[in-house]
Amino acid sequence: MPSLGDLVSPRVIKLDLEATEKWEAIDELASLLDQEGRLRSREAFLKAVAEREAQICTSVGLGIAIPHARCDAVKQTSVAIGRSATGIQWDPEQAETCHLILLLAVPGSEASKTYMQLLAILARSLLDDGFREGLVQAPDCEAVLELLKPIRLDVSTTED
Amino acid sequence: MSDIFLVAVTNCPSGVAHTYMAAEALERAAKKRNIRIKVETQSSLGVENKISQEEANAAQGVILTSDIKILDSDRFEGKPTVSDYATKIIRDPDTIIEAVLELLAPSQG
Repeated sequence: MPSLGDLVSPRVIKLDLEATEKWEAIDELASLLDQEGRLRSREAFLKAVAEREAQICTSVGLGIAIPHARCDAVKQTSVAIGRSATGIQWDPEQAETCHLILLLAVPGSEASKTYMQLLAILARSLLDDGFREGLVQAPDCEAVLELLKPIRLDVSTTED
Repeated sequence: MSDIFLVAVTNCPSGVAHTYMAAEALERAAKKRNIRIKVETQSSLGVENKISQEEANAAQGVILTSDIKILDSDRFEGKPTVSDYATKIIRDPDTIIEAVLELLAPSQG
């Protein structure tokens, strides 16, 4: 069974985001995915993320945001992870800033259900204090990967 | 384990993230207090961990997210019920559990 670690490589993790604003941060993480050859089109992917973000704000509390999109611009299911020590304001209506950003990219060919299950697993796992604190304090990308490996992705691949 | 049994239903306007995070937050907060809880999720993935009418009857208190309408909420009619936004439950599940316990307090003697 695949694990969350399989969706991430050290080069799609950035422990010190340069971005200070939401769209800079999403762009920075999307560029990492693009450089790793995980996207067909960075622009089309960013557009899909923006459309999703317009429907709902993806900050989920606890200083975490999970922007996400499923579209044909994605080659391979991936999660890019960014940390911001200063914090980035995500929801214009809320003062709370995000320090941990997980950008989920899913190919359009993947079942919608699989996509939603991935998001659900990701969201649930972040409620684990040990896991979340571990991500915040990890000294390097390898340490982040080690934290992701035990998280099983028990998702069904059939549409129903 | 205490004798208290709670049920909860979580949902959110779109997607699934808040629904599952709120469910997880409630399960963790209840476990910390040794309270039994069953949390049903209503999301784009459909209804999971569904609470039966029997379980609803057996529960002393009910916690609901208030973001959008809960399906089949008539299961919980007459039960002490508290509700709040999913994001608030994610940030602070303890407060809503305390709120529902407070509603139960008189009958707990």
